[in-house]
Amino acid sequence: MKNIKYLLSLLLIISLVTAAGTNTYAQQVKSKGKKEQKKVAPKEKIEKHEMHPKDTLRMNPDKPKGEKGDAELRDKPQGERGSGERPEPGKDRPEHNMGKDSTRHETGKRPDAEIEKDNEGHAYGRNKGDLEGKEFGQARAEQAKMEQHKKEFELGNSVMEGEAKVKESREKINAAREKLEADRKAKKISESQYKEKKEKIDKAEKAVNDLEMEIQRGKEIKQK
Amino acid sequence: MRKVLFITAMTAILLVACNGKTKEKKAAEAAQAAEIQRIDSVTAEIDSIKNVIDSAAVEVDELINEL
Repeated sequence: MKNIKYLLSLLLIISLVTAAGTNTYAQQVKSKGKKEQKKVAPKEKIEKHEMHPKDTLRMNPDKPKGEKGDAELRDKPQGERGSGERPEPGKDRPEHNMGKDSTRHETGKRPDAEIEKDNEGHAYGRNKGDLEGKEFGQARAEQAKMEQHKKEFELGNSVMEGEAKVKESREKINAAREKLEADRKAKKISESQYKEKKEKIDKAEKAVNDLEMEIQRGKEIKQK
Repeated sequence: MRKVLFITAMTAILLVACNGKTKEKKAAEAAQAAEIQRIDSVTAEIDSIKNVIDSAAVEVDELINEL
């Protein structure tokens, strides 16, 4: 009786530990496993197709079973696909060209639409390389910080240039206003010309005020 | 009976320890993702204000040249 209890508890422990271990391991290799699965899957499909090509065609001639494998094969470069493993699309399997990707089989190149579809998703997560999980996160954080510093530097330059422009513009506006008043007093310009010029000066002054406000906002954001 | 209890307790501790680590790891990853998102949003804000300043400066230039 004691032995049975001991054995049962041992069995329970083993199953629990295995379950816990699998859970943690599965999280670690989640991304890696997906990649491997993608690489392995097409080969399996091709082998399957070579063994029973007629059966597959008989089941669904318009949409062959190998089409799914084609989609997965798109992820692999041309060289890795193995020319000898797969029968020529135009010779052995003429029905296959009737599918959606018949143009691809004819030309041997992937259409632009497919390439664009592959390139969908976040740019940062697309080319992880050998990095995975924590390492990728750290690299991504570093990249984000560097980008932020770069943008901050650029904003600093814009703020400095903007401030110089505000100062210069205010001087020019004041000079233009004084000249306008002098011309009006000396009756060098008509009332309509005066009004037109004044409108332009006011508009320029408003733009300068707006620029100054944006510069102030930029400074506040930079200080955060 | 003692042995069984002891082993069960040990298993429970082991399981709790394993899950704790996973949770910590998940929390750390979530925090890192949130931090990255925050940095990205700040960067985007900086970029947008920079563009606004640049376009405002161009507009001012044009209006001053008209005077």
